Amino acid sequence: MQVRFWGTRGSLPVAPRARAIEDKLVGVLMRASGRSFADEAAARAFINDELSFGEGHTYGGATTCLELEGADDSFFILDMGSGLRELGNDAFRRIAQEGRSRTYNFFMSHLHWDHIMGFPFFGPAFDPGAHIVIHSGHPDCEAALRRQQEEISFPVAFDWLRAKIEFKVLTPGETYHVDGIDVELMAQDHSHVSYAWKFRKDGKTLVFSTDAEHRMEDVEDKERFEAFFDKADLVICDTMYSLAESITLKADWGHSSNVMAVNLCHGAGARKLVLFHHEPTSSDADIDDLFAETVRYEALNRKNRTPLEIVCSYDSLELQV
Amino acid sequence: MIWAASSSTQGAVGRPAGDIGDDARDAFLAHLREGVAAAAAAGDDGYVVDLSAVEHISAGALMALTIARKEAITSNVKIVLARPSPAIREVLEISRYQLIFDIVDDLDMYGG
Repeated sequence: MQVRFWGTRGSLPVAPRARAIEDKLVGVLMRASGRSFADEAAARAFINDELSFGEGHTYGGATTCLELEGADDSFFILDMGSGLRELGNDAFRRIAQEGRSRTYNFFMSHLHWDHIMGFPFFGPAFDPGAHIVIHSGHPDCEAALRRQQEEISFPVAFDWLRAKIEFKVLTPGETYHVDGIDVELMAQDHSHVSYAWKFRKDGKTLVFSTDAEHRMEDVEDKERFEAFFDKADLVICDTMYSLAESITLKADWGHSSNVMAVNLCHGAGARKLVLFHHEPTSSDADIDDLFAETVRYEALNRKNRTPLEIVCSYDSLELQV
Repeated sequence: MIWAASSSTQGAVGRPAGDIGDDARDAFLAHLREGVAAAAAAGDDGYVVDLSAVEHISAGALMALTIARKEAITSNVKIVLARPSPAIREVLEISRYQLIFDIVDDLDMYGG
């Protein structure tokens, strides 16, 4: 399987302001001071090899949307955040160039605005030859999608979409076989409930667990998540806040921290943790720091465990599972 | 984990030592609760936990600190973390615990 990140930001789409780009350029020019580059490849090598990711790039600002490659025939899409618009455009390209199927299997963590706002801009929803199947733990998923396209909010009504759209409500604890991939879901602590998803194929396991609050004193929660993450090859976790923020000022906001994510992955014996659902007020430099601190915390907390690889997600990241 | 209690000019001091692993979480929390209760009974507004002999602090230990802090606030007692090693301080700072605890390098730095 392969996972592709189309949107990694939490809560609200963001874009860098003019000054942020100027600051980034100034930083890079200062770092390169006195250097000359023979060609574009040498300049790119400088950016990729000598700068941190946030200095030379941006983590991006689209909200939650991931794509999982590896199903027999269909697109697998996790959540409908603002990153979905670009995925839809790229799906048209791949259908035209690669003859891909026009079937789209969605898996919804929950129905909050930042996780559904991309659907009205999802081009394939207007394709009369497309078949869209929306899997959710929420029986009110259809109501949420219809409501955001009511006239007061959006000019194109849900009923004007041309694709064949189906809703399937799945039950936690059951395993479903969807187009060649085994799928499970588990309820998480979040306003109106969210669901973690687990995808398994050919002995590989990917877990997608966003918008989940882990309360430190809740031992049962810890055990449930360690069992769900058990020996997973890749776990994508909500790491929006610091631990202190998540238990004080932002307690009950439904999100978690890098420290809790490492703890759960260590307890589960997972192999790789992806930091995800970045705080919208965080700059690229802030997310660089989050990444470096999480790598360090993993090392300090590891003891005799197998090392847990830490990856920081960004819009357009692709990872093999 | 080993635990000792002593006193300083600022009042009672808890002295955990060694590895505060997940399996020591409940014992660590019980000691913290005892110390906070004793500080409250003595009319102290702070309870110092001397971390200088702690070698490793687990997620469970962070959890115990969190619970004890929450309870201590209701007793008008502030838990002060003193003399952490560089590695323990790093774990506390990555967790941003410097924002919710006083972390001091010297027992005398806490003025009570």
